[in-house]
Amino acid sequence: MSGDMPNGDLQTGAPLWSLSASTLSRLLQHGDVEPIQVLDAYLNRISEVDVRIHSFIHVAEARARASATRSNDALTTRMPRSLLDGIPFAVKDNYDVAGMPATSGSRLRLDHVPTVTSPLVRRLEEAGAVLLGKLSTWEYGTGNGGEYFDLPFPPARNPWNPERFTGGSSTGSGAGVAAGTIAFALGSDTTGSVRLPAAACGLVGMILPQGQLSGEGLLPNCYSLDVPGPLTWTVEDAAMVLDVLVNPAVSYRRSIGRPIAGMKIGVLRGPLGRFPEPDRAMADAFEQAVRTIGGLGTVIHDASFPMPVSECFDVTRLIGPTESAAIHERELRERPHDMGFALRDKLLAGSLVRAVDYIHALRQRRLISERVDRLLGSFDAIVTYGPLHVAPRLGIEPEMTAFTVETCLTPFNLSGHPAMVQCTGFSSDGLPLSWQIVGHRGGEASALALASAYESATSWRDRRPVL
Amino acid sequence: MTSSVKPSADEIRCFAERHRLDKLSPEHLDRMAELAVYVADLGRTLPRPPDKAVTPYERPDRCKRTM
Repeated sequence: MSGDMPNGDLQTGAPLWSLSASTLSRLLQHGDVEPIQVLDAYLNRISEVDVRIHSFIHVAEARARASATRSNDALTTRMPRSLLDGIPFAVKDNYDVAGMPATSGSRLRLDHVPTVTSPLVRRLEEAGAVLLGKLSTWEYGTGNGGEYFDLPFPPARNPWNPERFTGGSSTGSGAGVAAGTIAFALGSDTTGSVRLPAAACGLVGMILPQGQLSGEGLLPNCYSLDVPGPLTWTVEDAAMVLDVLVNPAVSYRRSIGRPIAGMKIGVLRGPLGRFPEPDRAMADAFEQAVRTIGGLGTVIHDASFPMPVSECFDVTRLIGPTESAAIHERELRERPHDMGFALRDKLLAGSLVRAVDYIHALRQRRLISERVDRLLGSFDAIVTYGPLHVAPRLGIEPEMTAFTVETCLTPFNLSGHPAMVQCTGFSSDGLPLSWQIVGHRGGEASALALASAYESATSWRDRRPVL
Repeated sequence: MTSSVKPSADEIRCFAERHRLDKLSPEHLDRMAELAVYVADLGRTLPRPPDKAVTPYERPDRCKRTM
């Protein structure tokens, strides 16, 4: 390989940081670029723009260079370890990586350096992906929807408009992938924390049912609901990442480009309960997306959530804080002053929940899960709104809380189905719009095929934020 | 439905002490009293499953229940 390749795609001239992970993979595997060039492109991008969006908490340049050198050896000897070999990634700062600070965005853990790497990170590194560092997060990967500017790191900002919120809690994961400071990221989701930043930042964000991806080495937030998940630029990127992460190995990537004609799709617009109707731009984009997949030969059926969506959120409001209060009880007892407002608020609330109400919430969850299962029995996949609003103004608490709370995301945390959001266009002021695709348990491939077909039929991946 | 009554400062302080939350500041305790209302209302208004046989998790000793 030549050492003086231009710092971009040879065919399009696009900078390397702006390419999808799957395009980078093709260039790397064909020897058109070297891993160190790719890494340098991301390091330069971080230097240029991260001061404005704060996606990274910790950049591990030396470790990444050593890893890129190993990728170079593997690729030049035509023995790539996977399609991710040489591709930089980063993880939300609630993932453990041996020898790397893991603050979880909190002054409670500023000195915490794990000695063991989480299995998901280890698996990606063994596949040759280049770990570049740790990404911003709401404190402990949780929050109450607001941003209080009281944490040890500045909040990540939305690359499409840095005055806007990224969505939480995987804030840096959303900002970084959208801005091109990283090719793909891992976040974690309890009631939307992968899909909210993916939606706000115009990305693909996907969760799988609990148990399919290891939660080991990930700071727990809610034992019964936490799931890890990737945030990527394209659907194919998500499939590539999941192919490495899921055990036993699968090939979700085979579902990319698969015909979707004849797929039976349920379209859910409500009932939303006490939540407001979605923003007009979000609703219009949703209807257009439904028409688009209808035009690709899917069979569209209107359907309804088996319960008001706001009632699902209420169930999570009893389960989430209660489990968090149990998990982080010691910190609340010993160091409440060192917490940010949002985390302390959640733990105080969780400390007040009656066990009786928690049990009823778990019972309701079970009913919800069964009803969603039954609903999905009629379809190959369903599509719903994700968040009902576009990314709000950062720091305007009522707007931020509404964005976080008023979503159609929580039913599928409770039900435990694979769910993903993807970009369905942009508002008149350039903010990403989104929808959610949900599959059967074990039906991730159908959801990915549908999302991939939609992505191919639209031009939303042609646009990147200007920073 | 009427809202729950906010606990007095003494009541919430006693609650916190009972649960060894003794490093909370007066501001934290005041916020906790506000949250007590919110949490109680949330628990009170949460729908209850209609059947006592709806368990919070699947039990191995039960046949699959259909709703």
